Parts: sequence; structure tokens; C-alpha cells
Amino acid sequence: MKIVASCEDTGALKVVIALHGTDTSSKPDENSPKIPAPIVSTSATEYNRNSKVIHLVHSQHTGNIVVTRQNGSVELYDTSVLMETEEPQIIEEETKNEGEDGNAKNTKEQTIEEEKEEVDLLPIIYSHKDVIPAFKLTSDDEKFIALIIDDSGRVVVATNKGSVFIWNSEEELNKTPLKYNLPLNETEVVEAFKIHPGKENINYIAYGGKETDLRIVKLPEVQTSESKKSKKSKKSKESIEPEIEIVFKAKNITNSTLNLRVPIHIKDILFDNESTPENFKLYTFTVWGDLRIYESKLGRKPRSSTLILPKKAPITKAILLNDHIIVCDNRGIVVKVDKQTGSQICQFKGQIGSTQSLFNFNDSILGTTGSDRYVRAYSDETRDCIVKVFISAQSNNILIIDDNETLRRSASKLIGGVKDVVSRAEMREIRQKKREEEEEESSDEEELWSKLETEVTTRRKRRKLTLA
Amino acid sequence: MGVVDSQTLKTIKNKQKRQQLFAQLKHEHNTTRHKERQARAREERDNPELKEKRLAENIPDTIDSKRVYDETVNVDMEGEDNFDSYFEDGQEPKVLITTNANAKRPAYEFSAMMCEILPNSTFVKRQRKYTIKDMAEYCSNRDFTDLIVINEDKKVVNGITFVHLPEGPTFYFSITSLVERKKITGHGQPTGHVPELVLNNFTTRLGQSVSRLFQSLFPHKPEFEGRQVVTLHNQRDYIFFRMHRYIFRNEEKVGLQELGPQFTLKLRRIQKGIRQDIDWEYKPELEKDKRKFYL
Repeated sequence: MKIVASCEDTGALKVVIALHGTDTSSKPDENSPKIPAPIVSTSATEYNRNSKVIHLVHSQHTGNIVVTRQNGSVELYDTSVLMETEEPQIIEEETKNEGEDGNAKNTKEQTIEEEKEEVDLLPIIYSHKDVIPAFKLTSDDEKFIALIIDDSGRVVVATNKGSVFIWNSEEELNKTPLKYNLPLNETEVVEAFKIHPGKENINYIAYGGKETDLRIVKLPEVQTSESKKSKKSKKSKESIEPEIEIVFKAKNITNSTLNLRVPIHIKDILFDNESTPENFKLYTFTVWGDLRIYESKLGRKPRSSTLILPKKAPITKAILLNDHIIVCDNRGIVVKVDKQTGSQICQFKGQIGSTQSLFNFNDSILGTTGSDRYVRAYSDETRDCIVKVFISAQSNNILIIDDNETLRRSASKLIGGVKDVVSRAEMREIRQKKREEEEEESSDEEELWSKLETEVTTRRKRRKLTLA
Repeated sequence: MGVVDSQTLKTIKNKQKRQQLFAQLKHEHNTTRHKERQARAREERDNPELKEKRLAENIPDTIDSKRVYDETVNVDMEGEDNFDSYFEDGQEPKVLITTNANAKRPAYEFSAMMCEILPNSTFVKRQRKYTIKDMAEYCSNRDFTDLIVINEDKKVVNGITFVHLPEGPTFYFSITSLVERKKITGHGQPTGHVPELVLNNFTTRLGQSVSRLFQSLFPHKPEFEGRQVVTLHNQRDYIFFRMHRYIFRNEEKVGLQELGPQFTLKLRRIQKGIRQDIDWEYKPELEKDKRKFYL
């Protein structure tokens, strides 16, 4: 498994290459002798804490990584070197016994690792500096709040003051972007920003924030031939602003039992896969741990508002995984929640401190990272932690780029020492065998009983007769 | 009736008799033990090698020695943190001490002690209308580097919050086993000198951040003529605070006088910024494994 995480303390990017079952928190010799130590290498080392990564996104179109930084720049990193690097192989016991040959192999592996360390696994391709001025996260400056690569390959960056920067593709990242301003009142701040899924619907944008209720706007469609001309002219904001059309504007939920207005503070937004421009279906997550479900066809108020985190901790991130919602808060709770009802299905345990980032890899693996300086990967089906690696710096973003291993459950691949784990298929086989055996036994028993019954009944009859 | 063995003791039905016999049994056991020890001590006095051999062979297993493997122990710190202004730029600390709102006498006494311990610190009485966030803002405007809030509940000091300014982090410790200076026999009075600081056993990455916090509260250069030492000793995630004055009696002997107070801190929470996202929080389930320590 290849994982990329961004470091808050250093501003660097950490690449972790580890096999399933890797756990750096347990002694390597005792528990997992077969699994080699993970390769952890650092890229983009020239940055510091004040220019740390804010968002980290993996492009599904080109495979590159796009990054926004606190110094106001947007950068593009190449992953081809990383994709080519081989994962460490499982050390088999046979090779140890081979003696000289085995040693030779080991030395080869070591040299390969040394070479790998020298190579920068994530070389930078483009850097667009000063998209916005450098900012502090605690101040009221203009900050990046979202970085999205939409389904048509555009790079979209949004700020809390409502500015949206759009590059048509990753290759054009060093060119000046299209700039739009989202319709906002003076006091309103954007904290969550999402683009509608689907290639044809990329112009629909949902956003919300503190005292900024959910809004969906439609950006003006820019044709490719015109775009070149318009880029120069689009520096003047006034010509664009009127074209942005508000398609949907949510209403706050009804007042509380004390007839008090419920405050609004949206932390994250998710579009449902079934959402269409005719009937937007989306979920918002509040600072107080609420999930609100909106369906534009049925009304402007949310269809339901349910408390999904019992401690009312602020939701830091929410993603869709396998048709369920995964939510994390700033207290180290990661839960899987049902989309319809908001009821908790299960928890992914192990985090200490706030979880900053979640990542969905192929609807099968969940990646998490946070302030406890670990990157973790969980199997969605079994909830087992399959990779746990210490990266020695607090991290705020995680990506799982590649995974070649099967998610078959085996004791060696599990963290936390679950003993005698058998895969589901094996369990089924065992159960079937048991059933068959039981059936055989029962059939024998039936025969026996039927024999007995006949004998007993005849005897009884005789007795009855005698008594009578 | 002579002394019986433990098996026959169980068969005796009279409770008083049983207790009496058990006491006798125990006394006998103790006397034999003491005699053995005395004999051994005599032997070892004549032959010190035996003692060395016995001590080398008989190392008791302690919870500390059985500590669970932690990969963050003695790891080099990577990157920067908010204490860099003290460690890198050499900024001298300036501390403001206050209490919780509606504090009672013990809190004020404790804060007076803290003012004595921490050089360059001032005490300000807490006003109910200001939150920690407000106070942090005012303090950072006045170039304070740290804000300490002492928490008292039902006339018992039970917690202390350290806010590093201007951007956090915030540490919350619980306080237990507080022994005031006047209750320590043979205690001395501290002088106004900057004390030396001893930080013991903060090994993990989390422990490093805690030790950096304590270090950043004291000025860089101690005044050695004061001969005062503040010790923060971490053992099994409990941090013991002690303050002493030392004197070199001769080349081998060092005399210590306790200055007090004594108290024990336990880390409960670390938050980013000024009481924002939680970096680390104590939960009872973290102590499931008795041999796992976090500092």
C-alpha cells in the first residue's frame, strides 16, 4: 500500500510504502517477523510550518497530486516515480535458511532501499505561487477551504471569502486561473465547498459555513474556444458576478422547543450519488455533530436533522464510503453512519486526538490520519486496522495511492493481535461442513427414534391391553 | 497449644482462637525472616561480592521495567512547534497566573506559591466576564508568553491549565497530593533566584512536548548562587513536582533541603491553539494495559 500524508510540523509530504499488517507501534521481531518494516520517505522538504499543506488531492485522471499550501500557492506533484517503486516483499522463512543466497538477496534489497531513499518520490511539476496572499489559520485572513479536482479534470480552489479559482486542467496550473466570486453577504464565511458529481454537472457548486446556510449556485459555462479570450478579460470581477445563479438556497430548521433560532455552522457538505440538477440530494454536517439531509425537490428545509456524534464534537471531515457516510470529529472518533437515518453502524477505533483527514480508496479501504502522528488504514468490510505507521509529525491530509494486496483476513495481516482469524469463505465452508454433519447425525437419530418409537408404542399398547 | 501450620488453622472453628494462632504464626514467620536477613547481612558484610552477585541475579520485575514497546521513545523531534520562540529565538518567558472564576482561599494560596516558583510571573485576580480565550488575547497583546489558570473546586486545588501564547497549545493537568510548604518538616524558604530545572523521564514524543512546555516557563539561565532546583519527575505518566535547595557539603556529599510545595500532575488534555482541536486526551481505556505509558 502506498500512502501519502502531509505534515503539519514540517510542511513536507511523507510517503509511506507498507504491506498489510504493518504496525510500527509493536516490536517488529515478536509479532510480525514476516512483514518488513515500512519505507517512510519525505518529499518537499524545503517548506516549513508556515507553508504547510492545507489540502492534498489525488487526480483520478492523471494520477498526479495537487496541493494547496498556507503560503497561498497551489502545487502539482508527479507520482509516476512513486507508482514505479516496488513494495517491500514479505520475508519468507525459507530465504533465511538458504544461507548465502538469502543473505545476498537481503543485501540486494538493502541496496535497493538505499537507492529509493535518494530518489525524490514526489517531484514537483508546477507551482502557482501567490494565488492568495500567505495566511494564518487563526486569523481572519483569506484562507483556502477547498481543493477539488472535478470529474472533467478541472482544478478548483475555493477560499473562505468566497473566491473560486478554476484551472481547466492540471497542465494549465501555472497559468492564470478563472476567478469567480460566490454570492455572499458581508458577514458570511464559507467553510465547506463541494462540486456536484458527474461530468455534465460540474458547474453546480454547494457551499456553506458559519451563519451561511447551504446554497447551490450554477457557475456560467465557459466554452473552450472562448475561455482563452475570456481569461484575460475575466480579471474584472464585475463582469462575472451577475452570471452566477443561485439555484438552491436552504432554509434553517424550525426553531427549538424554546422557540429559539437554531444557529447555523456547516463544516462539510456531501453530494449524494443520486443527486441531479433537477433534484439535488445532499448532506451537510455541523459543528455540533448534526447530519442534515436536503432534497431540493421536496423543499428548502432539510428533510431530517439528526445528531450523529453523541458528544456534540465538531465534525472535521465526512466522506462517502461504500454507500455509507464516514464521519470523524476532533476527539478521535471515526464512525460509519447510515445515509438515510443517520444511525451509527460501526466505529473505526484506535485514534487518539483529533482526526483531521479521511480517505476512501476504491470503496474498500479507509485511510485516516490526525494529530497522533500515525497514518492508519482500515478494511471497510471487517473494520480491522490493516496498516498503522508512525510518521513522526502531525498530519492533516492522507491519500492512499495504490494497493495491490487482497483484503483477505488473516492473523498475520491484522493489527491488535486477533487470534485464530479465519477468512469468511473458510468460515462458510466450516459452517457448511458442520451443517452436513449435523444433518447426517440427525438422520441417523431419526432412524433410531423411529425404531424406538415403534417398539415403545407396541410395548405400551401391550401394557395397556394387559391393564385393561 | 503450640504454633500450628496454616492448613490446620483452617480447621479451627473458634474465630478468636484462630486469630490468635494466626498472629502467632505470622510472628514466627517474621522472626525467622529477620534472622535469615541478619545472617545474610553478616555474611555479605564480610564478603561484599556475595551481595553484588545476589543483587545482579535478583532484579525485581517492575511495571516500569516491563513497559510496552513504544516507537516514539527518544525519537528526534521533527519540524517546528509553537515553543520555537523560546528555544530558537531565545525569548524570555513572561507568565500570567490567574484562577478560575469565584475562586476560594486555596486557589489564591496555590497561585501565590506558583508566583514564587516561576520567575517573571504576575498574578491577576480572575474576573468572571473574561473567558480563557479573552484572557489569552489580552495577554498576548501585552507580550506574555504563557497564561496559567489554576482550578479549584470545593476548596481543593484540582487542576491547572497552561496556555502557551500567542497561538497555543493548551495543556490541562489535574493536580493531586498537594502538600503545602508549611506541612513539610524541615522545609526552607525559597529565595527569589531563578531555579535550575530537572526534567526526568519525558521520553516519548508526547513527553517531549510536555517537557518543552515546562522548560519554556523558566528563564534560559538559572541563577546558580540560589542553589535552588525545581524537579519535574515523570513516572508512569504521573509528574511529581518537588523543589529543593542543595549544598555541597564536601566533594562527595550533597545536602538537600526541601522547599516545597509537593504536588502531582497528570496530563489530561493537550489542545491545539487556545482550547481548540484536541491533540491528545486522557481516556480511561488508555490505561487498559498497565504497562503502557504515554509520556
